[in-house]
Amino acid sequence: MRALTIILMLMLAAPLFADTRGANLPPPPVTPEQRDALMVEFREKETPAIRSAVEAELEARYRKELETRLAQERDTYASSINNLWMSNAAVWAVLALFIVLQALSARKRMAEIARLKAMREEKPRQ
Amino acid sequence: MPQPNPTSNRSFIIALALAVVGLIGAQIGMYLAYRYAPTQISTGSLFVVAPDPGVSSFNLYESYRIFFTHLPSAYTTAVCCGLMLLGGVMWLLMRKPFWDHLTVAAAEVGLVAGALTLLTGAIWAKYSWGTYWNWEPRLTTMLVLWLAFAALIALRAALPPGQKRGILTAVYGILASPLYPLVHWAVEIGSGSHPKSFSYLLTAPEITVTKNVATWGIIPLFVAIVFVRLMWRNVNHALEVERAA
Repeated sequence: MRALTIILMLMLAAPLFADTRGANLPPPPVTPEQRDALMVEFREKETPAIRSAVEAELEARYRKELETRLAQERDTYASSINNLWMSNAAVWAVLALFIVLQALSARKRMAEIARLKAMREEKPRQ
Repeated sequence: MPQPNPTSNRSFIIALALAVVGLIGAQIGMYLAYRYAPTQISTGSLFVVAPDPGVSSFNLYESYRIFFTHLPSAYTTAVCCGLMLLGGVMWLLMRKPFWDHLTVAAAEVGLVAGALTLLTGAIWAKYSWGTYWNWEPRLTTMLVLWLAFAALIALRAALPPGQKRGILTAVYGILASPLYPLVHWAVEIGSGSHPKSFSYLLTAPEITVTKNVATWGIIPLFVAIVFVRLMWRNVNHALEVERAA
């Protein structure tokens, strides 16, 4: 039992005997400068390509789903679209009516001018 | 520069013809806007507004239809600024009432078109940005332009007829007209909410066609109002002169 405990304790203490000196570690595949350069290259070249590919795929998927839902939904708000169309059309019709009324009013005044002119021209004759 | 005779039947016919052309154009534009143009889903917007069973897509994708009223109204304010400048300069050069009346008619129609631009923009902003208004450069300069139209009309109404009123109207019209270029360039200032271009909306050829028809239908309608207001003012002036004689 004592021997087993010693073995167990030695096993637990194994990290204490580990060789942690940096010099003994295998050399890194790249130097810190090379690593930074590779990171910059990855961010600049590969990330946008990956992102755009993912975005395009997601967008295509979302668009398909959305268009299906919109097609289903359109029936439910068809009356709202019609109401908006009618009210917009009415606004322009009122503006056109305003033009006609103004033109008619101007024409009435034109007739009044002609009448006054005729009266003025008749006065000297009398 | 020849001036149309304000008391001729031809002016009356031109006014009615412009009204008919404008009305037909605007109504076709509205038909296309609501019945022909497809639902607008701009590229890149889908991540923000991914389909959610609890959210109605109506407000998100249909609210853009107000653009077909918003854009022509904004263009009309530009036309009115140009007419105000023309009227002001020509009045100072020729001192004929016709040009004074043109300045005022343009300001009146600019006030209506500017109000429509601000109103439709605010409604659209509520759906797009979540708020009716923010003090970003394009919106603020447009409001300033609208107030300038209102101020010209108020200033003129406060003055008795005569040379002084004519000079002030002309000078004010000339000074206010460069506000539209300012509105146009305001999107370049800082990072405002208003898009710099509407090209992102033109995702389908039907939307481009609708934009063109609505623009060339609604602008003549507003030009017809400028014309008829000009005619009315000219006739009114001629009547006053006749009565005084």
